[in-house]
Amino acid sequence: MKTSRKNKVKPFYRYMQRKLVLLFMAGFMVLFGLSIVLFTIAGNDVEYKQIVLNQQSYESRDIAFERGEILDRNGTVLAGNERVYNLILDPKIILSDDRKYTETTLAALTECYGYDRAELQKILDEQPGSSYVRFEKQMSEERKELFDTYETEFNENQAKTGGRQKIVGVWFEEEYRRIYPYDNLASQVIGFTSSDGKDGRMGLEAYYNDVLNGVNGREYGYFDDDSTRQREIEPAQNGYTLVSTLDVYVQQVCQKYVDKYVNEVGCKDVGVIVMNPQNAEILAMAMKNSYNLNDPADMTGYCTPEELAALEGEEHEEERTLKMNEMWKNHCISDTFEPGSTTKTFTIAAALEEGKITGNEAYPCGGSLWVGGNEIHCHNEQGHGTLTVTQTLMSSCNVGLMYIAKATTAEVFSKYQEIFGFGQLTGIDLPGEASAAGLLYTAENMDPTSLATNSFGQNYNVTMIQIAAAYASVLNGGNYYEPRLVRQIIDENGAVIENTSKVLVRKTLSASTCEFLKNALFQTVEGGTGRKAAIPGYRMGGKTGTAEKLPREDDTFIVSFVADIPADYPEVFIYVAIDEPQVEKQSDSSQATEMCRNILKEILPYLNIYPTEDIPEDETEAPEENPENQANPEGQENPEGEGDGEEEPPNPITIIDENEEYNNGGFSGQKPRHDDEEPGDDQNPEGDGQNTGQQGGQSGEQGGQNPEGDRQNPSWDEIPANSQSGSPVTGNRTLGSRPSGDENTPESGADTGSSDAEPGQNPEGGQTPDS
Amino acid sequence: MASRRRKRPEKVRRYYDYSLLVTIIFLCCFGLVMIYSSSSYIASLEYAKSDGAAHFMIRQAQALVIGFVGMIIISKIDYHFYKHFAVMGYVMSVVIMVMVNYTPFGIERNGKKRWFGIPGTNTSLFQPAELVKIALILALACAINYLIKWIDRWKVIGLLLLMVAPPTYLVVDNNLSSGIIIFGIACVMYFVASRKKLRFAVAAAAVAAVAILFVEFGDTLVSMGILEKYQLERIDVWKDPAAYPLDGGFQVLQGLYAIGSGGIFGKGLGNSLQKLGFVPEAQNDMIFSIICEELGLFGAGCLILLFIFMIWRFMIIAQNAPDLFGGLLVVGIMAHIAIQVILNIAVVTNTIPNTGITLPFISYGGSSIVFLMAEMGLALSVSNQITYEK
Repeated sequence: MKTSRKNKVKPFYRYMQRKLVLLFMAGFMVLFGLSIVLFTIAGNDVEYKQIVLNQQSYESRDIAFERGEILDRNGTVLAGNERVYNLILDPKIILSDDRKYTETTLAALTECYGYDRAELQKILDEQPGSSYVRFEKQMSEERKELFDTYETEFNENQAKTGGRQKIVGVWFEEEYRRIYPYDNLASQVIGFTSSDGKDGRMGLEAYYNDVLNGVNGREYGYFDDDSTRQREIEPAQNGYTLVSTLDVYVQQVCQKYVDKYVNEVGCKDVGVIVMNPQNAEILAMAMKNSYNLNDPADMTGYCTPEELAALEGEEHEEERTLKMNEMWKNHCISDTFEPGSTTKTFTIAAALEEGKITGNEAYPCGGSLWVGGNEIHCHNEQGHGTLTVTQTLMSSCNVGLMYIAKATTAEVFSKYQEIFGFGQLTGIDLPGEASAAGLLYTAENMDPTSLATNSFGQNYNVTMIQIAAAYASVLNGGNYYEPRLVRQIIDENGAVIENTSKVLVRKTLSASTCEFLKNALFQTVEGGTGRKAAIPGYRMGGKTGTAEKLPREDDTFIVSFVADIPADYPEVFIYVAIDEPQVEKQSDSSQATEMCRNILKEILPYLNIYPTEDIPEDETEAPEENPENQANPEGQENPEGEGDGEEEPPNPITIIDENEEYNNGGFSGQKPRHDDEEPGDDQNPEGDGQNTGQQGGQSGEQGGQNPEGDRQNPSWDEIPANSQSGSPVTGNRTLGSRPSGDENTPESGADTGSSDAEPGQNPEGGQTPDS
Repeated sequence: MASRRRKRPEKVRRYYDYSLLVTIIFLCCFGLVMIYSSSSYIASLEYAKSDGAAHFMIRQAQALVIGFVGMIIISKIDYHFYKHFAVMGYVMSVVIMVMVNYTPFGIERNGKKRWFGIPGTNTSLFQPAELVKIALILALACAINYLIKWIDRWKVIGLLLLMVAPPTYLVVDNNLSSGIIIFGIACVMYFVASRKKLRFAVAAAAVAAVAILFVEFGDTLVSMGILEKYQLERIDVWKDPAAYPLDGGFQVLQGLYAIGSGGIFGKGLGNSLQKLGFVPEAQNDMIFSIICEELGLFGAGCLILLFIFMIWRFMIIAQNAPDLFGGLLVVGIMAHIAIQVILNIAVVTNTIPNTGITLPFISYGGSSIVFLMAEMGLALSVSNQITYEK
């Protein structure tokens, strides 16, 4: 015992043990107390769960989808996306904690972006309870990073200096903005979107809106039935990409010549459609107006500054909208007009297909024809002489066409208008297509005059796309396809979702009819009115068109040209229509022919369509300088192309008038003035003033055709449609050819009433394309 | 004499507190699981390119292995051996604290200069505050053991205060919460050693009065210059954390949401929502709130019971310690664990103003867990010196 005390082994005393127990009890009590605190907190679980969930939903966020792109046929991006950011203010947070961080945050915003401080303060004052104020939209990535850098630097500074300030309540929301790399190119076709890039407004953007749009993804947490937390990330489904049939290069070439024409010559409007007739895929669609897709509300290119100034202000809101819609309108599908001679192909097609003509007939053209009491003129008032069916197309002879139409009968003609899709929507994948259904005659109300005028493309309206689609069917052997602007829908990985391949609407013609027409079109370029369009080395088909606009006395025209290459198996079809070219003689279709030729010359090699024929020496030397000569080597012989069959030997091909200047003037009574006064004109010199023969509107102005004229032309009622005279007759302007049926004098014609005079039947009121 | 008389009457066995050991192992493993659960989201974001989601868990596990081996070695050596290191440890801890506070050996992490490391290289070795805790427990146990006869004399109290003051001041200067813990440990050890009771009651009442004064009259105290403004802010946040959702209140508030939304049985392990970036330091100071959210009151209650059991084991070891030094050593360790657990849970439940205190064994912290395991080694070593007769 003693030794152990000497060793000073001090035990853990009893009192210490007691105190330790006391301490343990105290600790136990404290922990027990804390458990009760925990229990009270957890007893509040409903409320807290709610808060946690709410917090979570604040954190759960939308993941923006990317709208599909629009590509051209070679993958060039026509419409793409750019990631942008919206600056969001959270005034509730900015003002929290006794406004401790308000100052810092506002200072950061003003310093980074130069915002007006008062403006920010106003938002804070007005919406202190809000958590979402979109302050700036669609900032670029660089602009957004300004703030990020500032914030990082600020926080670092604060950490270094021991400051307790921070920037709060500012965050960025991500989205995509639509960008159009080619600005104005094909603007009406591509269309644009609403500013948030989610709602297509025009063109393909609107038509394929649902396809282009994806679905926003979302990141969120939720509780399942067992109150266990589930966290889900639903990725955004990006929109599908459209591979359009457009070709940027072809479109650019078309637009270049359109712009050049608009600038150098001027016109009311102009439209160009380039199409592959084999599947009705549209390679280019150009028109006079265009707008910047990246700024679709900008009208500076469309209106003069004075016009723009006049549209300023609230009170002109409506006019401005109208004007804008006009600018955005796709001329090629939304505007209707009288097509003119380009539709003669379809008139012949109907007759041939139904066996009403065989193609071997010959028709005498004496310069005009009396129909239903109206004398309807051929564009060549001297008359073409007797022409075969092919030759009528080559020379674009109205008289011949009227005979053919008569043989066809109104019923069949009407049926074929339907078969060729006139008066109906073509089904092109663009919004805003016009059908012009109200501006067509039906078999029931088509009187002889209407039939006669319709036969050469007057007195009813079409859209450019209708003509193009109908032509495609003729050129591809009789298959009418819906015109296409989108060939494929692919997803973001390039996998094909849908091949929007050709949609066959109906069969229009038999193969033999198509072959006949293709040949006729080829002949038209070889030796007919389309000669100016010919491109050396190429076998090419084509047809001119000159349509007189309403009111007829204004002497305004739409000149057009269709062409197809190669003539035997057309791979490209082009349709050019110029509305009111600002030239002295509007009826000169060479305006369209020339544009067509220029475009083709540039795009053919690009489209891998190469000359198949030998190119004559002289033509290769200077192809650009003198296209007329090149196209028309015989030009020196008849430079103005007067179709004077009188002196010439009876060769229908050489006598054909290559300028189709007169083609429709005859019908509505007004004889278009020919700048180059033709010999025939002096036969009725007082023509314009003498309207005695006719009453009413335009039809009354039968100036040139006064019945007292020494030249009497036949009535189609008298001449058998199926003229069996297979050999062409020269010297056609024989007065004697006028049949004895005198009852068809203008006087009596007035009584029977031309279609023009009858409002119920007459579509003219609404059919001028520019009305 | 007695031993001689007995002459090995029966086999003398050495005790080893396996219950404590098992509890320690369990808590550490549970801690690893909870660290992974609470940190995997943040880690997968921040360390995506290195360890990924397991970043914090891996590092904690590495520290645990080192700590565990150290603990076993320490526990197998007679604790009297460590007496020799008491003075050295005390001096060393003070020197290192001075170095951290006032020389470039202090390394800054997360804006707080709390790490001892090699200057310029930015490599941090450990938090000296943890070293101070264990060194002070050892030194105080020695000192009280030496001065036990005169323990209630004011001179001795003064002497002990003089001894505690430098490390406490240095730690408070660096990190208030660690300072409070160190001072608390010293108080508890002295309380156990002292035969008096009244003076402690008076002291406790005084502390309570000061606390109430701070809480109730904070504004006046600030204007008088006694209290710093940021300290008053903490008190204000504590009173109504919801009014300060961004600043001081954010952490506490999110912790409360976590606890509250857990309910009785919690959302299930790994299902916490609040760990997804809402509760800051989810794997650290606030890990208890995530435990509450995932395992509910039930899980939290079990954890608290486990800590109580651990503290009870310390009490048993201390009471049966072969001598006063060993007993005091364990009392210090017990005080350390108890204070830290209580303060951590109190902070998480917003019972006291927010201050950064980790939950022993559970919270993430490499240097902290190594020193903690060393302490456990000491306690086990004391238990190992208990002899009993069969």
